[in-house]
Amino acid sequence: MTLELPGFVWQSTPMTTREEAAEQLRVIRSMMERATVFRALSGETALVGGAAALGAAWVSEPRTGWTWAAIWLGGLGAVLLFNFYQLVRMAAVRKGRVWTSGLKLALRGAMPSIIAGGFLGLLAIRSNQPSSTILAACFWILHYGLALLAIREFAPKSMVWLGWAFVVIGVIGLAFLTGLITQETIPMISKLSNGSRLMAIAFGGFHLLYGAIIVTTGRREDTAA
Amino acid sequence: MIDFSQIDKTIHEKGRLSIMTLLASRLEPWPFQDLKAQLDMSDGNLITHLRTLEKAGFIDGEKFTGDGRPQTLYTLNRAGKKAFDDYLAILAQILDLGK
Repeated sequence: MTLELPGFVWQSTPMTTREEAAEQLRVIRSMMERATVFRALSGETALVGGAAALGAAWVSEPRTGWTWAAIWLGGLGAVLLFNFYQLVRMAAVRKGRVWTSGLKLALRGAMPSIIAGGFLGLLAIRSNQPSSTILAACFWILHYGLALLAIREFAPKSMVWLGWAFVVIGVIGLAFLTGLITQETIPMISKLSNGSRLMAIAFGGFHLLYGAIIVTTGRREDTAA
Repeated sequence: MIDFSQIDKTIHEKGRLSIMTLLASRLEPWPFQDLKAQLDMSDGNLITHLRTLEKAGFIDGEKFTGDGRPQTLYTLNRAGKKAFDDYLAILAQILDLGK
């Protein structure tokens, strides 16, 4: 059923009144979710995650196999704990719940990529090949980027860029590993032929950059307003 | 019977609706830069919409220079909250009418 109501001019004439009402509600829902998710992934967590990744890269560089993986999983656990503390703290300030619909939605979107990437990375470690840590790093980086892109509809634009940065470096790493990109193509690439360095650039560098942007733009001069 | 004249044309514009929604999404004030980051609008466009909403009496903007860096924080006031709730109610009625 469609409704055409005379006497009221809507802004998009080709749409029916009901379609326009549904579209406006969609805008409202998207904005509400976006605001919640934006707060759930704070700049402070990104900064702590970035610093933890640099620390894990330094400790893990001379190691291989399960020891290498355990260092990174330990770092991940510490950052998740910090993020949970941040969520609880922010919820207390807002006098709201930690387990919000926006957070549920974000997790539902991101989890398939996170689980698949985590599993593939551990399989790579299990293969115990010389390049297994690089392969694991590529899988984790690539799938983390895909997870961020999976929630792009209700994430701020900066997080979408972060997702693309992870995807690009993950793909470049895999292309190097499979011989598609060689040292002749990109001379610097040989320096990245190490799982810890790749992880340091992506989880360390990108998170620090993202966190710094979020924290500084939130307090930036607002002279235009 | 829905009275369509009750639909607030100030809120009905997509940019201003998005601003009202963000301001309604939490109790704390929104800094200008946070709104800009979320809405992907130019400074000029965002300022124009914010001024329209302020003129309509729906939002309040307050300038702070606490640490020497000026920052304007925006909140939805009581009139704005009521206008937003009324707008949502009309949208819901329209959708019910179409069923």
